[in-house]
Amino acid sequence: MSVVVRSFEAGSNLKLISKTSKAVAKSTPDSAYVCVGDTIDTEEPEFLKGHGTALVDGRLLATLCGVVQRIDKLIYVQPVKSRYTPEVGDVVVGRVTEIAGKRWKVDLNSRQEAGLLISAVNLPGGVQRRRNAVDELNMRSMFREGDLISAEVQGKNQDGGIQLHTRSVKFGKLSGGQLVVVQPKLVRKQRFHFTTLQGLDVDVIAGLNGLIWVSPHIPRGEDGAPLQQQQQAAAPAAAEQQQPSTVAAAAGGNPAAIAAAAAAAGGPSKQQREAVVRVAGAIRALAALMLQVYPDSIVEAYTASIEAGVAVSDMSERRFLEVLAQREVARRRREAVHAADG
Amino acid sequence: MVGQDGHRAKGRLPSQMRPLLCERSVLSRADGSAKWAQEGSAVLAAVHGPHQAGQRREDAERAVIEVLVKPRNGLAGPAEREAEEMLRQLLEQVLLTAHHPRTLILVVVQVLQADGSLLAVAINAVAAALADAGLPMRSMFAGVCCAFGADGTLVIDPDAAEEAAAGSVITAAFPCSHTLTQQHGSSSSSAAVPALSLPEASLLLHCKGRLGAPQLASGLEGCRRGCQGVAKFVALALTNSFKDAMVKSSDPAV
Repeated sequence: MSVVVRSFEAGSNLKLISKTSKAVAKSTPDSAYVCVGDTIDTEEPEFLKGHGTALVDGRLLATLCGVVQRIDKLIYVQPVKSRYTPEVGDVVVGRVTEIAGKRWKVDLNSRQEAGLLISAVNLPGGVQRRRNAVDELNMRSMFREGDLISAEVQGKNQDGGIQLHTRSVKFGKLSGGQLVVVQPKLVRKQRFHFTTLQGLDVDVIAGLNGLIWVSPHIPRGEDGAPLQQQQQAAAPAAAEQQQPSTVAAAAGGNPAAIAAAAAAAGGPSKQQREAVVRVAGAIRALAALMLQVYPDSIVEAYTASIEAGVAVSDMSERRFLEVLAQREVARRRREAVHAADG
Repeated sequence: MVGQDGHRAKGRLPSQMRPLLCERSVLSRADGSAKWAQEGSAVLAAVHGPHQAGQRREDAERAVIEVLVKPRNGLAGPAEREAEEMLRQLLEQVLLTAHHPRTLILVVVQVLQADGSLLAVAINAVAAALADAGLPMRSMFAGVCCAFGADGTLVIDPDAAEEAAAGSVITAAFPCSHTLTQQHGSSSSSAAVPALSLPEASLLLHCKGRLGAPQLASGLEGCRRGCQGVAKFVALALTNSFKDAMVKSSDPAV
């Protein structure tokens, strides 16, 4: 085993990032930056005060440090850093921390934990009925403490508590893959949060709370349910494979059980595993440069790493980050030209 | 403390503060962090939260604030507990805790180097860390320490030797904010700093030693003037560093 020692340069990533951002001029005036307690200049007498502002003695004060944004009559302050704030309909990835009463408590890296009620999940077998005491006792057989799940935000309480649901076959327990944690603002609302990267056989679930799940591709039907092909193939095989297939039948297409059955059948191939790890490395490199993470940018970073001949373990190194930064500068210049033309 | 020519150690004037240094976003795993140094005294402050408070500690209407002060060496003792309580009461006045009910805001203060005025340095570090974390506050705040020598002279920002030789030491924190005095559109570039206002009332007052009433009044006034200088520095430093951060992180909408 060889050991590589490299010196730590504090702020080296920041220099790359500022090089990227200065390549295309930004147009935020200096007067838009406010610090806590500063008075915000309200040009119109009528305005709506948004996040980060407070009305004190007839003056609009900033309660956060950041940039003042004005949209129509709404004035709010956009801070540099903030925790993930859930909105109804967001797709998120979270970890189960506790089972309490009729709900699972899920940690979303947000300000409060989220609750997943037992009435908000699909029962095994897809049955629709009232949950009874036996269901409550069997909660641990569905999701245990420490499990990673994908879910959708169903609602928010007045005190900021979040309610989740997994009322669709595509949501549920995640296993057989890799989790990458990035800053929540790098994952914006997209059309599809469950994507398969073209030609790579890798599934990516981009949670809006910054947790991104990368796994080998699981074939899904049109409704989003995982296809049961592996189950049929595994059934006539050896005795130790019968258990995962019966679990798969009982779970009604639970992706984790499908993955378990696939693992029992030999698991993902070495190429698939390397593709998954390389995609995860690409996401980490994008996050280090504070670039937006979406399927096209992940695929671009992936192909850039292959073209530059970067080993998977070197994808967080400065050399590859510079390559990515240069590609981003070129992309922004092209976009600026398109915007100027069109 | 104050020599024959009116100068202190290293040629400092009695009302002169040591050079200020602020480094923002030092820790990657904290929601906000800042390192604040006044020459020989350096403190690292980290803010974690708002995140889930345990059932025992959570308050249904506001965020719970917890402060931990860790000395440079050894275990935390009564002096650290006192500093924790003072900082916590200061933060209760400044943070808008009603915005995040049922959460916990944890502030950890680690003393890196101790050379006098530690409580003031900790206050400034915590202010910068809270601004970095993006927690909503009523206003920014700054803290300054001053000491009275045996002969009654007032010195601002004493170092460890001056504190030891002093008859009494006062630390005070004041809220500071900038009010716009120019019309939007005719305001000049970033070189112009809007009018700084510091109210008379302090957020925190800590006294050690024997003090008379006039001494307390002059000490408070000295601290207030010192806080004005710190506030100017903080506004410039934070605004410049946030400008860099916002330019880096903003992206064309996809």
